[in-house]
Amino acid sequence: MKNIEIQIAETLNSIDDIQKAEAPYFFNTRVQAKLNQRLASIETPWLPKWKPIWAITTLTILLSINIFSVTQKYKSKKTNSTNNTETANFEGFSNTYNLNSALPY
Amino acid sequence: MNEIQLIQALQQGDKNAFSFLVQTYQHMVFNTVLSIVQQQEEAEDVAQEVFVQAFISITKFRGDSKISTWLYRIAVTKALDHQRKKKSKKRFGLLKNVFGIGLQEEMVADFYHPGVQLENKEKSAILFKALQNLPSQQRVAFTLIKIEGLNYEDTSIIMQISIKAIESLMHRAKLNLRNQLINYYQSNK
Repeated sequence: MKNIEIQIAETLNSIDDIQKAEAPYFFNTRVQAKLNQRLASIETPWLPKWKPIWAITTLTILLSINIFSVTQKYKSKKTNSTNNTETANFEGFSNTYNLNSALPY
Repeated sequence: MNEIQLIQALQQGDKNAFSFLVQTYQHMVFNTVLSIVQQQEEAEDVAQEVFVQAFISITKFRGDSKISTWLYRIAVTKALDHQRKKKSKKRFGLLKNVFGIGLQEEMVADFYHPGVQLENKEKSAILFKALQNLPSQQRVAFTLIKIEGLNYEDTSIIMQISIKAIESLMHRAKLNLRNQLINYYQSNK
């Protein structure tokens, strides 16, 4: 335990005479470049920032349009096929009973 | 250039004044950020962000404290934010490990502050590792006083709390560090 106490004390005192770390070379230049980049992005606020929410929103809108158009197409197809069936039925009926308009009365 | 002139020039968007600001305070900001972030490249990135943020928000600076105090506040906030994001990423990584994706990172004392004497290198790395587990307020107080070398009064101004509160934070920080070190040395006997 005494050994541990010494180690703890040494560890706590290990930073007593610590020197300050210095910023790396060309730090100032890099900061200037970063600032210019940031200012340029602030000056063009009309450009939307790329965020996941934009991707999700765009995807949702595209999916909705797709689903809507597919549903519409399916509906119109169904209506057309019903009309066609009705026409076919009507023609069949006319043919069966010789009710063609070409018949002379 | 005195502080008032510097602030006025910065508020007018003077790039030369900004360069002067960076030149004057770069080591102070970098040392503070490095002591919290504990990774050279990340610390450089965060320190750069501190100055960019300072330039952008200089118009809000009322001049009721010293520039150094204001920069310390931005540096501490940015460094803690960075650590918080890093920790949440690590937590996500841990979750991935639970599901068997990736390997778990081993917790080792691997940060060597460049300002530490060679004979204290290993022991200080253990201390820096323990510092990471302190609550943020205790960690900031300990960093500013023991690593940045500030006095209690300046620290209280930066942290915007009373000197008594700083004393209490330091007391609890030392206790916490001591308990962590007891566990560390007992398990590494």
